[in-house]
Amino acid sequence: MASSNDRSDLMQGTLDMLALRTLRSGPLHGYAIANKIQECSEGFLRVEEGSLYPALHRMERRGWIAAEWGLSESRRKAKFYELTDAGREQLKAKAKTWNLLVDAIGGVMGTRTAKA
Amino acid sequence: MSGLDSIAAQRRVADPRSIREIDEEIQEELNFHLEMRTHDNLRLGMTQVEARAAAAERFGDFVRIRKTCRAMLVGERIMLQRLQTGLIVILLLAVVAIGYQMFSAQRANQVALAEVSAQLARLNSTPAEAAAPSRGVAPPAWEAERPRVVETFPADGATDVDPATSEIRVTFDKEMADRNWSWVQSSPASFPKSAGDVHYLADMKTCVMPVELEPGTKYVIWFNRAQYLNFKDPEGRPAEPHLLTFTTRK
Repeated sequence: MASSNDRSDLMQGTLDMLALRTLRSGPLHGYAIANKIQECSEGFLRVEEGSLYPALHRMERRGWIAAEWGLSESRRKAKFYELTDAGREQLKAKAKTWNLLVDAIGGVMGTRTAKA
Repeated sequence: MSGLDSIAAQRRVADPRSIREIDEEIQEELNFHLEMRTHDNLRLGMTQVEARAAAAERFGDFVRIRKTCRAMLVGERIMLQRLQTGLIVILLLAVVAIGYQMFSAQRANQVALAEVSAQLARLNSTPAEAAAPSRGVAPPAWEAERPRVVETFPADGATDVDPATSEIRVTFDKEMADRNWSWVQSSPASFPKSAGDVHYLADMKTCVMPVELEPGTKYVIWFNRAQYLNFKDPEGRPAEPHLLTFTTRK
């Protein structure tokens, strides 16, 4: 696990992509999305948890995700988000851009993985 | 959650929730997050106070985030409401301005109509009123000295006048200015046909008009009327208007 000093604030613009990717496995409420991002990055990506909600609401307005109130695992009322078809398309586009970016940076840094 | 796609589509079209409901939903969602994080922190062994403080710190600026969410969900609607209110205010102002303009125009019209009515009333007023230089003004000093008709031939109101009568005469109570007269018709049909030159007799009090009369006809003649005031004395004082009517026998 990365040390506290190595943790990175989430890069601007990537939060949408991470939230969309997290929702690919099924509907989740905001708290679960934040936890899952942190778990999957093994604690490296430090999200200011509150900032996730404006991103979720923005994507909801754009139709990338849909929201519905339901009961959480602790039997409490919570707002669940689910990926829509438009969101899946958006995720594909964002992932492609991200991969190009990583590849380009890898090329500059000399760490690019050789393509088959 | 199978219907979430359609819900999203509907909300993009028109969100049926009120602004207050949206505010409450945002508050509830953010509170849920804080409470879940506090609960997890308690499970890690923190005290209640520590757990809450750590959850709040990790969450970030609650007020700012709530405002951002609100702007995201209802900002457009609030802007539209403000725009709508602005348009309504502009519309009301326009209505008031148009109303005021119409009111002013109507008032101006009323004033103009009143003036026209006054003019018409003056034109249609009684001979005495018509002769007065202006309505509502005290009569001039010469009013008492103006010439007046004392006799006519045929007599006023006569109904058995001989159609062979060849002249009409009007006599004033004083001498008149020569070659000045106003024999005024009420209508062409009721005015006698002229048969010669109008003239004064030697006494300068009686003016004569040669005529050809028709049997069974009612004649109407004004001596001075409205703006026709040429029966006057040598000092220029117009005679008081006088109406003569008579009927010839059949």
